Amino acid sequence: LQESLIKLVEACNDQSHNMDRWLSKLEASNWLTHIKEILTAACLAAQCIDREGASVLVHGTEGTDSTLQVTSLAQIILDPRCRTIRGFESLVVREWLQAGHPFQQRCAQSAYSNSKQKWEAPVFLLFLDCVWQILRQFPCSFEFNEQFLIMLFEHAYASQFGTFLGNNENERSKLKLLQKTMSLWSWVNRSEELSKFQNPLFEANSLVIWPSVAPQSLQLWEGVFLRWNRPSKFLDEAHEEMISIIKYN
Amino acid sequence: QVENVKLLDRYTNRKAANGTLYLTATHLIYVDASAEVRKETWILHHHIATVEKLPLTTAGYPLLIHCKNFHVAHFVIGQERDCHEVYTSLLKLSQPVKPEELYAFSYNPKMSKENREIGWKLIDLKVDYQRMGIPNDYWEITDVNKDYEVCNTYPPEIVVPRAAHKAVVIGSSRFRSRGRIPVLSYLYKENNAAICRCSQPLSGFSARCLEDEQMLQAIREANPGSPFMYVVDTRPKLNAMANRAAGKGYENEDNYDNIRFKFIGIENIHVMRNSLQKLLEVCEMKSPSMSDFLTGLENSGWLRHIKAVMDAGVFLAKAVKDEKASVLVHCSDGWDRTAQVCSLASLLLDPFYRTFKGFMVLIEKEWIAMGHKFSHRCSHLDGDPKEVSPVFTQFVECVWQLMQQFPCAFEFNERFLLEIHDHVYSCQFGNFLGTCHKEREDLKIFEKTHSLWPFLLQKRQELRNPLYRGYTAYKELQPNTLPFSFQFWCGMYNRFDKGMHPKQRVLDHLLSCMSQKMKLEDNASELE
Repeated sequence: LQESLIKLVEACNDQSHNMDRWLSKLEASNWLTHIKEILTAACLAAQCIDREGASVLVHGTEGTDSTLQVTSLAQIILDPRCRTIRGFESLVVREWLQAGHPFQQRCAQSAYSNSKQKWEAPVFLLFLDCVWQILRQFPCSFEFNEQFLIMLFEHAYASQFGTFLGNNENERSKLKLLQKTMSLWSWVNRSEELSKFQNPLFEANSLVIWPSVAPQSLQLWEGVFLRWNRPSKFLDEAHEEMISIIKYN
Repeated sequence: QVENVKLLDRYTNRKAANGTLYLTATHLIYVDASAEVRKETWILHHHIATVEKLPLTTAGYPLLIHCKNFHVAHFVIGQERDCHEVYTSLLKLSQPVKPEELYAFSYNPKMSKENREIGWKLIDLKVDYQRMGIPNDYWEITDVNKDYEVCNTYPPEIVVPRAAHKAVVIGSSRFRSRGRIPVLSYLYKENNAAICRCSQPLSGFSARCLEDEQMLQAIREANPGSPFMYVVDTRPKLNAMANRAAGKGYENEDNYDNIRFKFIGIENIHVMRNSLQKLLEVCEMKSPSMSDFLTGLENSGWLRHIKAVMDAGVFLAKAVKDEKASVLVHCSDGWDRTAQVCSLASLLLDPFYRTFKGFMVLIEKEWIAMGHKFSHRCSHLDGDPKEVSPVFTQFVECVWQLMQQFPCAFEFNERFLLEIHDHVYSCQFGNFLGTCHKEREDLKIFEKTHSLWPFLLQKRQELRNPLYRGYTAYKELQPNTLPFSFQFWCGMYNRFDKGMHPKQRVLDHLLSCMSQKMKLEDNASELE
């Protein structure tokens, strides 16, 4: 997966104006393939619960990587509470932090680093990307916006808060994080911060939302991967316009 | 009317319900009354590109219909005789032979004669020239072509430099393919740089024409702020050179004073036709993997061509705005790539063309008036398949790509583009019939048919862009044309695959917010 990310970043930074080379590199990175696979697995797990009423046991090798992606995405599909800000925060705490996803190892270096360590992998970023894909397809079903997801991505790799430090709860208690550091959530949930992360289009509903996993429905997450390669000015202005239309209403 | 017909899509297969197929004079209508809500699928005969009978399956006799607006309908008909009858009827209905058979001549909405005529007068190109400041010291609208003596595929009124006298115009017309002399497309008032268009010169390897050289000189001198002007050939160098052997070719910098010649390399109509064909095959793949899709997209070359057209438009806009130099653009005949590139450049430079009215003017001017062969390119009548090519489709896509990069810069939304595209092929309105102005006059389009534009303006509430920031918010647009800036337009090429699109549309949500707001404002003002 780290290999995949490195190739994707390399493709995005290619300044040659060659469309074939871009598409070829994008395909070769396999990043979107991973997105499709994880979303498909999550839909499958969710279908078992929703359509058949059956319980599902998910596992991978260690149960700390793709397993967590699948279980958390399935909950987002099925449970509208996970699509609220507090609900999503709880999901991350429960399914990633408490479940023991080894953040320290996985997010050890910069996501753009070229040297590879074998325990390093952008598993959490892939999960956030999958959430973004669903958000894009159901823009009115999430209380949070894209900025929220990008913020989480950043803090997983480097943060002034202790939330993502360590590899599991055992390590966190040994490091005395509760006493020595501040929690990310305490900062995010303050109203002046929260307003930046709220989705103006959000309309609470109790739907189960099924994302399409057709290749045409999945897109490159420009907000993360092309963030520094192209100006966001015009997209920001569009966002402002949208907020003002909805606010006026 | 045929009973027991199933309509399959990529998701359902054997479980599809039984419905009824109706064939009217203008449409194919499939009605599925099985569920609570009656579902109708309408297909205009003119939109049908191909009809194929597929091999017999356990479910029945399949009929596969491909439409020019990329709708693909897969019917399975119970009885073979019914299937065959539908097949032969559709073949006949979808390929009219004579122009009089086209829908536009029988389309008869409830409208007074005056309103129909007013509809045709809605877009007046003279008004756009006035907006550019023409006529002025350097440019004039001439009626030298009023009887189509100079060029029978140009409109009766064209804009040429004042300094280009009639002899120069006539002489130049003999040196340009199909008489398509250099004429003005767009004048950038702020610095007098102009975008002009024409066809290839009949230069062969060494022929010269004094009047043509004078014509270019007149264009260059109409922009005293620049010592040189660009001449842009939008063909690949190899193709242009090959044309020389046929007595045509391109301008020799040695023969024309102070020109800078440049090839831009957009491929020809045959390459584009094949590219689209491959793209559509990718779109129709049943359950492709991400790799299948991306590899297929790459192999089609489609986005590569879109980028090429966009790059050309950007080059023109930069030359005019930044270098303050006039540009003369041509391809072979000056009605395909030239139209794309000139209209795109105008859109990039001038916010007027990003409004409803402005976009209509742009299409009427650069495409309709200047003789893009809609009838041939869109296969309105049974004709030469080699003439068919998605040239206008590519232009529309370039506009859409710009809308993705500049969401607040256009007065209209994606639906507006799709409606125009639909009607280019529907032949319901007279604007796009035929191949040039003269032919439209001969067919009496303006007396017998309706114009598309009033019809679209009536629907403007659904076709508007809620994020539009107004005419003065953006001046010129400078799009990023690195490959990652181009997206696959699912809304066009997989338009009818409902499952693939976002289930909640931001556009609809915002439009409904705005219409609610308008209702409240109306109520409030009534209360006052």
